[in-house]
Amino acid sequence: MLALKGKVCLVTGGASGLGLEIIEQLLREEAVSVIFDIESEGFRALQNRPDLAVFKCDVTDEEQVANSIKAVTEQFGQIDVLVNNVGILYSAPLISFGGGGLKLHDSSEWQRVISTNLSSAFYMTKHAVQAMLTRRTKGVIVNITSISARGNAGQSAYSAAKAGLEALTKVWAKELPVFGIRCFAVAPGFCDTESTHVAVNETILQDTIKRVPLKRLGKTAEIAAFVVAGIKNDYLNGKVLEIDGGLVI
Amino acid sequence: MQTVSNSSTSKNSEALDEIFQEFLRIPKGTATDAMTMEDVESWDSLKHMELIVAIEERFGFQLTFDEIGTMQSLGAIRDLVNTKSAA
Repeated sequence: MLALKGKVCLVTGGASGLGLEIIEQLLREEAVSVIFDIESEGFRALQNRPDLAVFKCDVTDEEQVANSIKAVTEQFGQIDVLVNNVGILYSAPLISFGGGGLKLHDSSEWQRVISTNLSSAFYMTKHAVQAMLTRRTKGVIVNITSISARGNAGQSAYSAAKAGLEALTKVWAKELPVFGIRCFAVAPGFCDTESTHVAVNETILQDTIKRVPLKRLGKTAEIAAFVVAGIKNDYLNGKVLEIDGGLVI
Repeated sequence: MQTVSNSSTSKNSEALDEIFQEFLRIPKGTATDAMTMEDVESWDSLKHMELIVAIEERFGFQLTFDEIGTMQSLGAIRDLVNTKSAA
């Protein structure tokens, strides 16, 4: 089992929601916890915490990613764990008919979701693995996907991005073990987070809860505990671990 | 000194032949210094990375990215291993 004490663990989108919960649990394991996130109220508040390293980094911009990874390795010497957590939840049907007539899925929103949820993980992993290889670190890559990767009606961009991330998980789990680096994904179901309540219509959310055998939304602490357990388990590689209260069985 | 150096080079060569056989499927005794990725069907970029890790583990040194960049032929790999081993 991987002992996390002193390990440098980087979480994208770590200033709020699930990312912050993962960071808090990593801190309890005495890991060196590093956040990459964009400017926000939560981000500014975390900058004052002495137990955290907080880097302002738009992970959809590869140049910022490369520079920030370099800064982390200069400050801490290496990167042991990368959690590709950053993501935006966006729901829209491919085609719909409203009061204004025919409405098509906005292509700029498609690009934004793919860029944030998929391309960011590609950039981050590429540069983090380079840093791991340089120092021959036996690292761990974790991708936060979603049960939506199976294809949720009304979530073309989100589902495609998460399915892409699951494919990358499997590719990297085959390519990287030769260097001692493993990769796995955690796919949460519907969780009680601000982004869920913003992105999912309340009626749909209540209907979804009725379909969850455990009859409730997931808690970020439950998902984060699953992520940390996976990081510590040296035999876990290439799998997508679903944690959804039994919604998908 | 020359004898020791030749012996060391010979041992390196034998070990490399074993690695080439295991990872690139080049039958023992048939590997030539001129062979490149283009000549060996199984030698693709992924296999190349496995080769690097195998060489590092076998010889107990770490290759830099610049050194890895010079590993374009079996001969170049032999030269690099001999140089690194002697250092």
